[in-house]
Amino acid sequence: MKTQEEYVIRFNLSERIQHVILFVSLIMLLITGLSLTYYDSWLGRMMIEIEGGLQGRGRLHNLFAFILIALCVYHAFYITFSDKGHKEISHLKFRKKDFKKLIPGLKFSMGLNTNKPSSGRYNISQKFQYWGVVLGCAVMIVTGLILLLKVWGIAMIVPKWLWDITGVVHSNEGILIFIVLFLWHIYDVHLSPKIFPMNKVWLTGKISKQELQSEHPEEYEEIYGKEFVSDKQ
Amino acid sequence: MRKSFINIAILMVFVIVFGISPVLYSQIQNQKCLICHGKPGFSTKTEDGHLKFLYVSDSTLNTSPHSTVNCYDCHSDIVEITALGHKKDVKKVQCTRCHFENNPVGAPETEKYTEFQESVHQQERLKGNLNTPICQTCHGSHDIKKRSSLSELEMKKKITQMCGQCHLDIYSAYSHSIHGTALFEQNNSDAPVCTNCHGEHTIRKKDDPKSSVYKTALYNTCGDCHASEVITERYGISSDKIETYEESYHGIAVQFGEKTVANCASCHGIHDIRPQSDPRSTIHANNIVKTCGNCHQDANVNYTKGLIHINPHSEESGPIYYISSIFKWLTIITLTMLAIHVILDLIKRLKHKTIH
Repeated sequence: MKTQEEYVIRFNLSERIQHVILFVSLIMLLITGLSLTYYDSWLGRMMIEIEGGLQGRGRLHNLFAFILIALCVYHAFYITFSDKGHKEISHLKFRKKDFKKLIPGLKFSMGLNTNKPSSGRYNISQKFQYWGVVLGCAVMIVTGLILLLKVWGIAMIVPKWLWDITGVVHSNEGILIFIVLFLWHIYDVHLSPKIFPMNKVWLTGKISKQELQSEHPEEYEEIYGKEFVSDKQ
Repeated sequence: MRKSFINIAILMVFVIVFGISPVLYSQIQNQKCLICHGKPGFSTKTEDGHLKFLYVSDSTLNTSPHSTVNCYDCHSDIVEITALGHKKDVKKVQCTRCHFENNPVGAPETEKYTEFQESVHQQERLKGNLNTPICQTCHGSHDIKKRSSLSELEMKKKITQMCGQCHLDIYSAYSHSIHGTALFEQNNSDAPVCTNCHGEHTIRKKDDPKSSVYKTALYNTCGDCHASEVITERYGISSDKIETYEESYHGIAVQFGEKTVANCASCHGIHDIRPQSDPRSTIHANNIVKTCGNCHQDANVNYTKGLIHINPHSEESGPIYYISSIFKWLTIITLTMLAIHVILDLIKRLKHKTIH
């Protein structure tokens, strides 16, 4: 059955490395952050001990925060100035047709509709995930930097109420990001029975022609022309 | 008939000898001591020239819980009394002669005797400081009374005076504090006194990790009252101060054993705690920057712009409450929708499998 599969390069090396740095730093930030949020549970206490006590936990969290910030800065340059990055970001922009496919897409998920709405390089769920990460990182970095004023000994430049609100937002947003990443992204690319144990595209950068056709038909059309689609149907 | 009379007579002798005679004996012994010590004003001159009163009233002895104990039982080093009296260097009474665990003479059974051995007072005495209090210093000697003979309020007032004999500066700071004024001016028996925070026989140095007022343990001690719904409700104060402290950065650090972070006393004071409305209070609006500045050298007026002891679940917390609520619902909705997403996907895959 298995033949020499034709494939298309979906993500280049830089993007794959960016993704690895992103998820490593996010996972470490979530572990070190949530262990403080849930400091009063046995798991939280245990994690804080492993992370080297409260101070060690803080330093670890700050280290990965700066890795994430550096990545975000690099990524901003990447999408602005590199050809590939610029192209990717225009693919990730929300279009009117995305929202038109929202209801049919939900119907398809619920099994009310058998036709899967076609999508381009990124489907609407993937677009939401990308912009969700962007928004989440923005909120976490801004609030995180305010909280860091304390560590730098210049906490007096902001009033206490801002500091308190920042703390509440930072910890709650952290929980939200954890839920979204694990129930949405990790489920979609790892745990869903369709692709378990994982979708290897993050490692190889390659997507098979067959998968491209079924998951991203509009992109497939752009590359191979329309006749293949009609052939398949 | 005659034989039974003899039997009764013998029995009587036994009763007198073994039953009544010890009582009589102790009475006689005590009477002997009271020949001198029963005279009001009976005194002696100490080495440093002070007059020491040695009068012991008969009624004091008889109303104390030790009424059945005779003088020799405690003053056991006095073995000989002549017409001129007894030896001069009478030792201090050792209560532990009777007051130890599993004692045979019926002294109360309690762990306090052994607890006291580890207390700062006893430990300092063992190091050679003879100014430290022993049992008699607090409990009294001949005039010792049962705890139940005093009301809660009388007892609490007496405790502050007992400790104040030596710790005078603390007594004066305490008596002007909110706790002290409640006790002395409002006669409030809920007010904490020395022993409520420091313990009684278990008093330890404040830098002993086992102390109830140790840096990382203090908030629990304050919590005995300030986290108690019964007590806080009685005075219309909130019972969440300890809980909100535990959830604050200071509180979390304390729970992980950090010794440099603020505990209750760092902000509110120790013996001189005053209400926030009092201009001399460390947490009065005018003093709070200085109080934060004790640890945070950079503290300025921005430190005071906001709430302290924030409970995100209470509407009184304002923006914090609303932001927490928004996040709570956002999290619940996201979690529900994504759970549905996962369940729908699993159902679809399952159907797909059964078709093939």
